[in-house]
Amino acid sequence: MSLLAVAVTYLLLVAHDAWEHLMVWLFNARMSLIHDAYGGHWLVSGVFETALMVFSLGAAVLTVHTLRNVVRLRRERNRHRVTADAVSERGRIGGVDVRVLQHATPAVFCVPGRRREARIVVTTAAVDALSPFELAAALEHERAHLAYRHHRAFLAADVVVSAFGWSRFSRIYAAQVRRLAEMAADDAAARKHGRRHVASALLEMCRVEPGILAPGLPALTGTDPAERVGRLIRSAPVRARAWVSALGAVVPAVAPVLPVGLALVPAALLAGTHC
Amino acid sequence: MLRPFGELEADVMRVVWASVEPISVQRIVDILNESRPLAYTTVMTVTERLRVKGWLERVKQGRSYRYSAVRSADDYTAELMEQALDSSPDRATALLHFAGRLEADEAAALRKALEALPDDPDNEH
Repeated sequence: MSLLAVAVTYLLLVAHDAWEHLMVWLFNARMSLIHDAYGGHWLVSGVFETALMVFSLGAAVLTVHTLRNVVRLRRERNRHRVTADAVSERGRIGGVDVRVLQHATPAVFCVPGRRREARIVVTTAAVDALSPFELAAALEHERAHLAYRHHRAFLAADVVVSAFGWSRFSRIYAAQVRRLAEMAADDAAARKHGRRHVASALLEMCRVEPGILAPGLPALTGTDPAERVGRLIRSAPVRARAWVSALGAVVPAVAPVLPVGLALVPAALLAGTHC
Repeated sequence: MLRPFGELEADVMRVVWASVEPISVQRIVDILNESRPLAYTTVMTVTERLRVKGWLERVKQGRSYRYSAVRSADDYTAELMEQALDSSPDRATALLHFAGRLEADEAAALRKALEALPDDPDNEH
C-alpha cells in the first residue's frame, strides 16, 4: 500500500517536471515564471500532498476490496457451474444451450463466466410452467445478460457502492445499473421473440409462492418486475435515437481533453516571456 | 472432442455421488470410460483437485485411496437454487436471474393489461 503511494508520488513529481519543461518549450516562456505559475505556495503543496496520501490510501483499499470480491465471485460461480453440470441434463431449447435442472421451483438464471464457462440454467418446473415461446423469451433474456457482460457492470456498480459507502447516491446508482441491465435484456428478448412473450414469461415466473419469500422483498429488488412488464406492454422496444448515441460518443471523447486544456491556461498566459 | 476441465470435474462428481461406497480413481476411470476414453492420470488430477477444493474426501484402503463426497448433490443444488431465487440486491451475487417478485393482485392487473394488448403488437409472432 505504502509502496503504491510512493510510486504514485514519484510519478507525479516526474510528470510535474516534464510538464514544466514541455510548457517552456511549447510557449517559449521563461522557466522561472512557469515554475512560479505551477509550483505553488507551501500551503498548496501541503494540501496537495495530504490529498495525494488520502487518495492513494483510498485507491489501495478499493483495489484490495475489488480483488477480494472478484475472487469470491469467481469461486462461487465455479462451484455453481460444477453443480449445474453435475446435477442437470444438457439441452438445447430454441437455439440456446441450457442445463435443465430437476427441481420443483420454477427458475431461469445464468452463471456468468468466460464464453465456455457461462451456463444458462432452467428448472424442470420452469419448463413446465412456461409455453415454448415464453421459455425461449426467458432464455434469450439470460443469453443477452451474458452477451452484454452485465455481471461486469454489476461488479463495477458494487465497487462504486463500496467506494462511496451506502450513501443515497451510490445506492441509487447500483439499483439503476441493475434496472437498466434487466431492461436491456428484456429488449433483446423482445426483439427476437416479441414483447408479449417476454412480458407473459415474466408474469408467469414472478408469481408469488407463499412460504418461499419474506414480505417486503419486492421493494428491495431494484429491478421491479411490475415496471418491466408494464414497460413491455406499453411500448415496442426502440433503438437509441441518433443524437443520444452521438452524445454518448462525444462526451467520453471530450471529457479527457478538458483537464489538459485547463492545465495549459497558466502557461499560455506566459507565452513568449523567454527572450 | 476434448471437453473443458470444468466439465470433467462435474463428471467425476456425478460418478462419486452415484456411488454408494467410497470409490477408487480406477473405478471412476472405468465408469467414465464407458462414454469416452480418458487417461488415468487426467482423472487422478481432477479428483485430487476436487479434494483440495473441498468437494471430496479420501480414506486409505489397502494401497490406494477411496474418495467420497463431502456434501450431497442435494446440498449443492439447494445452495444453487437459494441464490437463484434470492433477489436481495445488497450484495454482488454470483448469479443473474430472470424474474423477481410480484404481489398477486399486481400480477393479475398486469396479466389483464397484457391480454388487452392487440394480437400483433410489433408484427412479431
